[in-house]
Amino acid sequence: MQTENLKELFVQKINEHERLIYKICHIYTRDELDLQDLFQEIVIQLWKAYPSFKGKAKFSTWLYKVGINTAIAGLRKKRTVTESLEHEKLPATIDDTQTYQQKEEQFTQLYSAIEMLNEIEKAIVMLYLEDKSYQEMEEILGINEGNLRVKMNRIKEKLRQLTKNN
Amino acid sequence: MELNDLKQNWSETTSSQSPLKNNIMDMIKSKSNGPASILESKFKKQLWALPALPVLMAVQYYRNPQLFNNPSIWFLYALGFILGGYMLYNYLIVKKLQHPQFAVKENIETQITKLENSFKWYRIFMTFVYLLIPVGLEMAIHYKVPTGFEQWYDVSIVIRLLVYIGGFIGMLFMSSRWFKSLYGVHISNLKKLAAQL
Repeated sequence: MQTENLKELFVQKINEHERLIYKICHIYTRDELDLQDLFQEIVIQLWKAYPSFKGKAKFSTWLYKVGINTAIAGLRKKRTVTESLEHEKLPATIDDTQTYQQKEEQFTQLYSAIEMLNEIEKAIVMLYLEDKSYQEMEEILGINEGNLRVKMNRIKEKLRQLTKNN
Repeated sequence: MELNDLKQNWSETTSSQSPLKNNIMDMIKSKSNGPASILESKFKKQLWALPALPVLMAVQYYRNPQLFNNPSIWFLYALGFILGGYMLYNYLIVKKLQHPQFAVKENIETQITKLENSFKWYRIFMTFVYLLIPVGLEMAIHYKVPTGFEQWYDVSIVIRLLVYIGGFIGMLFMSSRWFKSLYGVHISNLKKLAAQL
């Protein structure tokens, strides 16, 4: 009975936060099937770890930790996340004319550049896009704030170079 | 275009697409497809050997109590129990690896430490188990204990030593390969991640 209540509470929490799980999957894979697999794997890992969630941290912070760990460091034989594509070509550079279509292309170009980042950099970018504070990022990633700021600047520069060179 | 400019698009894109076609309740009822869970269930199945050993001992004793006068039998059973203990250790290690609720850095570092310690203990364990065999056999020669391996005592000591040393090197090589086949890819992936931190 207690397990059933726990299950219901968990399902309710996940339904409220399913977008966050989806965002983690989205930053690590673009393939639909991989995305579904990763989504399910994260949900299962969240369920397994749920009894140890004491509510000291925010549920979303805890979810990010489990989700990112599952996506990047889960014991695996096959890769479920996209590899950093160091040599892959980005879509062609476009003019600065800000038409809607061109802007969309610029977004695509930036997303492709993000795909070339390593797994930790992708996690930092996702948390940055989610408007997380450096303090929250530190709690989730375990990297100190100063180091995160340095990394963030390097990532921005890397993305600038990647979008400029291609 | 800068990363800042992507924030709004990221928010819109990831909010407009529908991620879920599955039921969460069904998802948590299904088994994890992650290799950690596959390894865990594999080690769990091996644990059945633990209660099976005393049962086998009891059956053998009931059918032929004389058999237990032979020290080789005791040696084989001791080996069986040690292996059983090691299976249990493996199972607990894989279980411990599956705690992704720590911060990412901590999780990666903990996994690396646990796996490296596990490899170190595995080497010590295998060396101990291996040394038991030649030491046991040589002691049996010395004390003239019947073991069922009497023909082996006719072989010269030089050849015996060479076989023991060759076996030891082979054991080190095979045990290292076995461990790497289980965790090698994962350890190198974790070290790659640690370097990114």
